[in-house]
Amino acid sequence: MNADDLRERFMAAAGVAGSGEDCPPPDQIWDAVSDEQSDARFGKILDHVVSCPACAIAWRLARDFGARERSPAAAASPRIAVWRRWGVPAAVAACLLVVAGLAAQWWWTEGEHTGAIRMPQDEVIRSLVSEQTPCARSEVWLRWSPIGADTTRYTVRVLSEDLKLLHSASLLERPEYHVPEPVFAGLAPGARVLWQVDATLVDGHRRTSGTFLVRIE
Amino acid sequence: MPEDAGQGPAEGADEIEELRRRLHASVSRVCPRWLAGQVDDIVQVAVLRVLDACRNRGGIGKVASSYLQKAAYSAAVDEIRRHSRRREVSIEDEPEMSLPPSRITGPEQRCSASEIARGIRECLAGLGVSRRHAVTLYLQGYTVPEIGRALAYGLTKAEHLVYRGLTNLRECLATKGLAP
Repeated sequence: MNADDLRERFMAAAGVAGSGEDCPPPDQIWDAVSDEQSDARFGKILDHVVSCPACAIAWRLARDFGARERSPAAAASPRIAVWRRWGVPAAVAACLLVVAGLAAQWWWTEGEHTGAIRMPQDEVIRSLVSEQTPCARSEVWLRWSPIGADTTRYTVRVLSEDLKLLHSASLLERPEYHVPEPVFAGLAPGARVLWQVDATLVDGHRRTSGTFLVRIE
Repeated sequence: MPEDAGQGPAEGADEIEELRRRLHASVSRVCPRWLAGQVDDIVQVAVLRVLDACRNRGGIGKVASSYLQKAAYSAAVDEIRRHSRRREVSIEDEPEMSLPPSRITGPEQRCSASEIARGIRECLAGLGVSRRHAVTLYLQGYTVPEIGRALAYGLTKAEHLVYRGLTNLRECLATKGLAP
């Protein structure tokens, strides 16, 4: 099997269905392709691509969309700069520091990987509402997977298909929200409504969900 | 208590239409063929995200084109994952998506291709880290100099890793009895 065959077969592998729940957010894949991720994160995402056909497509798509690695100039690349430091025998002290740093990072990421430490910034807000089953107008409950601790507060935005903001609610303490029926007054039966969640973590960081759909009866 | 709001976006219809046109062109250009039916949905989600960003950046004109690309990309990836979760991308679609139709024609060949693809992933996972990363990038379409830059290796080392890694990959596939 020559290299071109292998490449084609690997690309074909990307067509098989299946993406894990632990896929990195698209932004992280984009940043990895653009050389804007740390070594550890880059390697972790690349390893994920090996096992995840959907993310292999996402990686290729990032290149097609125009995410390109930065200039090869060594000074401009933090990744290269770090590795060069490793290669300078005289910089023993620096190496020790780097080793200590890497050990700490390994411990940290290993903890993440095994689930022992799960940082909120790696969590993704997922919809818990079916996009296929229409909801009665009086029973539109938006539910999503919580992130962070109980102190996280959520903002929900509800929009029509033509992107008009229909409703928003802030400072929600629970990962669910009942949309008042009058919000849907102007919508035709069977209309699709878009919704999105912002989570504000206790440290002030914000995470925004993808855009979800709900169908209205 | 939650606070409610009901105002729409401040951007003009013309600006939004222009934004939609730009995003549509961008998405249509790179979207896999099997996702062509979802291009409008992807664009719609991307428009929404850009408008969201506009609220903080002072208008559509202030949003960098790189941000538009990234928003379109994120929306496309979300759709790909949704597709995958629904298992709508069947093995039947594989040849259309990424292989020339002439290379894989019948169900038997498709099954074999799928088995080889799975074998490649398993074998890749068994390589050492450096070789695995180098070969994965190679299989993703990177050239050796690009791999060197991405992994911060010199050209010679990158070349060696790809060469040795591909050899290991072939050996591993052979032990599984997988060859086209």
